[in-house]
Amino acid sequence: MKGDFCNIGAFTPSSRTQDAIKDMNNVIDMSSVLSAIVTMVPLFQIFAGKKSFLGVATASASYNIHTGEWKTFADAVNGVELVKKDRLRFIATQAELYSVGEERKFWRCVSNAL
Amino acid sequence: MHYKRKYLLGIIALISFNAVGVSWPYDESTLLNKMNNTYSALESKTGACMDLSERKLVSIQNDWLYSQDELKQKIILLVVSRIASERCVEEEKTAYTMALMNYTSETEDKTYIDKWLVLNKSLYTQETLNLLSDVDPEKIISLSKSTELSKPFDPRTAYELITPESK
Repeated sequence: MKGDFCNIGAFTPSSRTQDAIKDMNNVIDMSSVLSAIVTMVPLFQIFAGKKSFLGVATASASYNIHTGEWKTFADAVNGVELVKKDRLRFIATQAELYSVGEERKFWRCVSNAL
Repeated sequence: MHYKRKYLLGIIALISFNAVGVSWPYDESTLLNKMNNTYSALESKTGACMDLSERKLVSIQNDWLYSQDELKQKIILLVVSRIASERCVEEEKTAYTMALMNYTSETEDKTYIDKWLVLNKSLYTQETLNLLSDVDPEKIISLSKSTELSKPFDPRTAYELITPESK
């Protein structure tokens, strides 16, 4: 996993972030990719992209996501086809370029973990 | 008489085809194999191109890029990096797309092509398209052909190189 920007604090997902997650789910069903790890890191439910999950994610946003948890994320997405992973990385990078603060760090962590 | 001879030649050709172990090129399993093989090649090349995008950049010399505002610089570099990545896999992507088209035409199974269409969407957000609406595409193409940016690269690394204070 690249980078060392992966300790992030609380943030509320913006509509831009929600749109990026929707795009990711068009590439691959993120909830099935991450199904085994969402119990460990509830904020990863954000990737399911459904309104109900986003509600949970927002409520859970007081939790930090630590570097080790991003490693878990990286392991979970490890089996994703590279053609799809490349697209996911593009979506994450585009979202990062427009974001600020913790949300920017969140997208950087996603991109680095992909 | 002429018709019979052509028919006979056709049968001989078909028998010879099987005798040397070559499968009929429009056979469903042959088309599927070809599609799977070209996809594997595309996967492999995509991995190599992704690895290449982690390379260290030395310098970016482009007055036009430097004259843009910060957000535009970031987005231009994102677009240029996409062009470089697409260029890197172009040959393998074309081969897979052709194999996919041949398979779909013969079998009418649209499962794979539907997924491919989704995967090939540009994925630029409306925000990005709006931001680029007054940018000359020729300038972007020209930048994408520059020595440093013609191969895959990480647009964030490029942006940090031209604006070190953004790190």
